[in-house]
Amino acid sequence: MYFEMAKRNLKRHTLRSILALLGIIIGVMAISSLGILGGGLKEGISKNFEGVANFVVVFPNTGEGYLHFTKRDVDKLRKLNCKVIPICTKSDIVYIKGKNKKTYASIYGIKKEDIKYLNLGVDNKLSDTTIYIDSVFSNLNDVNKNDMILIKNVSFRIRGTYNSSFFIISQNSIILSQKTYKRFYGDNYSMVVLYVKNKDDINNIKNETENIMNKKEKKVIILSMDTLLKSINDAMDKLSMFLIGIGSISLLVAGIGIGNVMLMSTIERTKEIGVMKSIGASKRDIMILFIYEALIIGIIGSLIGALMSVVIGYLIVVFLLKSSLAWYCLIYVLIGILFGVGTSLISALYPAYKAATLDPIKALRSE
Amino acid sequence: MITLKNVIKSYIMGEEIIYALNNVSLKIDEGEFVSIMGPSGSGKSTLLNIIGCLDKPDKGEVYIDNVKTNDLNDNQLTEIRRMKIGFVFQQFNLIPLLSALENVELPLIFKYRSYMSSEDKRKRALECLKMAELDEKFANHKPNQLSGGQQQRVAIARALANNPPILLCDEPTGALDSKTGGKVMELLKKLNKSGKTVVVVTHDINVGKVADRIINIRDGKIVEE
Repeated sequence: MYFEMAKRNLKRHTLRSILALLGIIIGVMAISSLGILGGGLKEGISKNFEGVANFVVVFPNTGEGYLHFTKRDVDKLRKLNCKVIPICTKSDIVYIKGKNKKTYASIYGIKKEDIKYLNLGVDNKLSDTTIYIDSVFSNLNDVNKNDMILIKNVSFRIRGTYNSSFFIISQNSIILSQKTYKRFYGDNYSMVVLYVKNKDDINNIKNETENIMNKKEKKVIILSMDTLLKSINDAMDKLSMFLIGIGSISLLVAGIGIGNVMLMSTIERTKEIGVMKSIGASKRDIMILFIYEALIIGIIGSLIGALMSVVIGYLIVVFLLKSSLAWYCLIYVLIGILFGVGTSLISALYPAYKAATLDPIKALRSE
Repeated sequence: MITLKNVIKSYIMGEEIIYALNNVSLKIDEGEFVSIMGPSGSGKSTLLNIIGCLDKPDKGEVYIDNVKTNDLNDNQLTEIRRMKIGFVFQQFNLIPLLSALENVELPLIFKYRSYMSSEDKRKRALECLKMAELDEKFANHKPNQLSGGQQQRVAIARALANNPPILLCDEPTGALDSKTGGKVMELLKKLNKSGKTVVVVTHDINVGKVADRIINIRDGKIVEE
């Protein structure tokens, strides 16, 4: 009955109720879709770092005069409880066969069986006569799969293309099997990548590496992606919060709107409230009646707003950011609903309280 | 049933203190039909509001059914209103959004919430409409679809809903023509015969005469009984 009465009271002023509803819809929509936008940005950026979070990269400390790792250094690192991937690299001139063109590229030597750990998106079936090239090299020199490239006058067939992975393999690069690399450039390692299966072990591995390599002097520099990734994620979360904050302003305005509508409604219904009190309504009954009205607006408005924000968020993320909508973004929709309902509830409290504490005699006397 | 002892109620208007009730004492027994009469501004409405627990006296004691109401808080006064008192107003004061039947159900909802099933509430409300002699076919009409007399019958049915021992009527015929008003007074008389204590505030002597006893009030004082 309370609900029924609240519903009828809202219907009594259809336009006014619809305007209040619209306020909540827009507010919830702003919060949720801005939240989704932030989430989409985060998703898009962290996608670029996907797969590197499990890596600890060890570089020789060139500042102390260490330019390369020796085989002994690598063997020391093999004691660690993780996959050790030694990587050689050098810059060299290569020739594009059939185009009579020479160009510079960073050449990487990686063991055939280690390539799969680097998440390069290639078929991991490198042989001693084939190479992988990165997309930048491919675009710059207009070469593709199955084209031939000359390195040190030996021809290699391109087996596949990868996107250079952040921090480990640079852009405009070529990957050779390590065996071939060593034949050309000798036995020196310019970095060692440690692949840690469980991200929680990364700190342990870093500490142990520190112990093994940097005991006497600072021989190596140790980097891990997880801290970087974490700070990027933190920054993105803050951005999301900021966007949601902007959205909240519109919800605040909507809340003030509802409060205003309810306050007007209290004043209009003063006599009715007096009558209800005289026939046995308690303060609580009157409060409930008004709060129901706000809740109806809040819940309906929030649900409509949420629905619309999912659609809008999806469009923004998929077509504007060219990323996919992550499921966890729905949390922003949930936040939007929560804020929407909460705002209407809070903004109804004062008018409801005011109605509940009306003096019944004065209320009855009013017209 | 209703006892007032030396009740004083005053208002401050500008720099003057106006005594709406000045040392009023009265006693109304169970089953009585009493009219309180007096010109407007005499304090009769204030008296009714104090009996009806809508207002509190500045001084003096008020007993409703042997309960002293001076010391009760808002919630306790609401409870007394629910249990003991049915109000009937001059302007009927029905809730315009609710049908006749729903208006009668409203006090039941305030009193019982969900402790009484909606069917039982409906049944009780229909019973009350019958007691107030309103044809059942009007049960689903909204107040604005009913005549004044019919609306007042709905209001009386609403006052009866919680089966209170006391009916307080503030100018119940004031908005009705004399014929309809007469019928409403007949109904109140009938309800009084069935055991309700009825208190009617009016300035109409024809209405007052229906009562067993007339209390005249002037300038906040009872002048004669």
